[in-house]
Amino acid sequence: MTQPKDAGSQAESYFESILAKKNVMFERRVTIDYFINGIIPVEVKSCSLLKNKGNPDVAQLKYGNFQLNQEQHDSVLKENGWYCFLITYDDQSLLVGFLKANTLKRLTYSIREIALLKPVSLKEFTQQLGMSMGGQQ
Amino acid sequence: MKSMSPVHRLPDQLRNHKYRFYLAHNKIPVQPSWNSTTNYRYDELELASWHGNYGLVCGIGGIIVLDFDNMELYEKVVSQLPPTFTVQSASRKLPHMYYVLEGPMMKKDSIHDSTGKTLLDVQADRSGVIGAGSRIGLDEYTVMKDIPIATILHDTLRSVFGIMPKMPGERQSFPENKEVEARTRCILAYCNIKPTTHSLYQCPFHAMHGNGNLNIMEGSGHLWCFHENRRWNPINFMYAVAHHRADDKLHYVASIIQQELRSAK
Repeated sequence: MTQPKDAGSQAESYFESILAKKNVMFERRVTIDYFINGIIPVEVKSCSLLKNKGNPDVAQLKYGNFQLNQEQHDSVLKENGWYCFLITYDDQSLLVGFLKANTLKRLTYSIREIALLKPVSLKEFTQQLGMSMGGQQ
Repeated sequence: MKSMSPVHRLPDQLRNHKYRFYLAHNKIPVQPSWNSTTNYRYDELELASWHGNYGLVCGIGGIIVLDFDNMELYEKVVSQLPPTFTVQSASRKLPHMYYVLEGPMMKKDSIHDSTGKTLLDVQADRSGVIGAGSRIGLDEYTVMKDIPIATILHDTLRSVFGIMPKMPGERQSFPENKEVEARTRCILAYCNIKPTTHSLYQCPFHAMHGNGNLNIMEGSGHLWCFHENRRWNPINFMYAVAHHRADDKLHYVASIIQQELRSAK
């Protein structure tokens, strides 16, 4: 099994695996990470669950934050896209949930703040995906 | 009159063929491989003829020693521990509580305060502790409680100290446990419960004592405050925090996660 190079690629591998389990088609693109079923843009954002504040000898830990990029955020907004928030901890990745880009008003969010924005689960996301696909067919 | 050597004052509780002893100068073992091959039964000539200090090799015969480095911690927890044979250290006059560990032997473990200072060492598999009668300068290790050595359970160490006893050679955690642990840690992040060390968090229901009192239980991923001896599954913990803080949003998130878990099952 190939080991992910960093937390970002670890999260993306995890994202791809959960979509594959749900038989959701996706493709990678340059400006926005993924297009689901060719039309729904999803940008994957990940952060480490815990970070050391600096001194490796003293276990001063703090939670990671999700950082959005303004230019990229504008692209996702323009496409009426979604964000998928993932947390990495050691070699584990966990899904926090999916949020529409237009619900995010800042570029930095704590893990707690994202959780309190009531992100939708993978199940709800794929259901909504089905509805939006259905609406277009 | 010449005083008896430390070895000759070996307490009766340790005069048992199950236990092994090593030769020491002050606190330092004088022979290599003292914790594997170069150690002795209490009645072996090498030990009996030794005039210096001696130590007990922990782990052998199921014995462990709670080696307190902090008197406050001892006073706080002693009533929660089975009464047992106890020795007072020479210099700092701190207690060493001797126990026979029921179940498999564990690795040596420690607990620390928020500055990293050691509060307690659990001397276990192949670690050593200097015995009663030994001297450091003019100070002597003395018997503090001259009673039989009691047995202690892994669960008692867990509940009193928050120590998750690790077995020698045991892996830190199994992959399936890591996922459970990661999920619980994630819930703690949602609750904004601060980590104080890699394994402990600040319990939100009381002021912090020592190095934090909230622990993630290996395997189940349940949360356990060993200060108040309360346990929660992560969702119930989230509800409890939401209720405690009157945080409706957190309560809602807990209910969503609970629904997701139910539908996943």
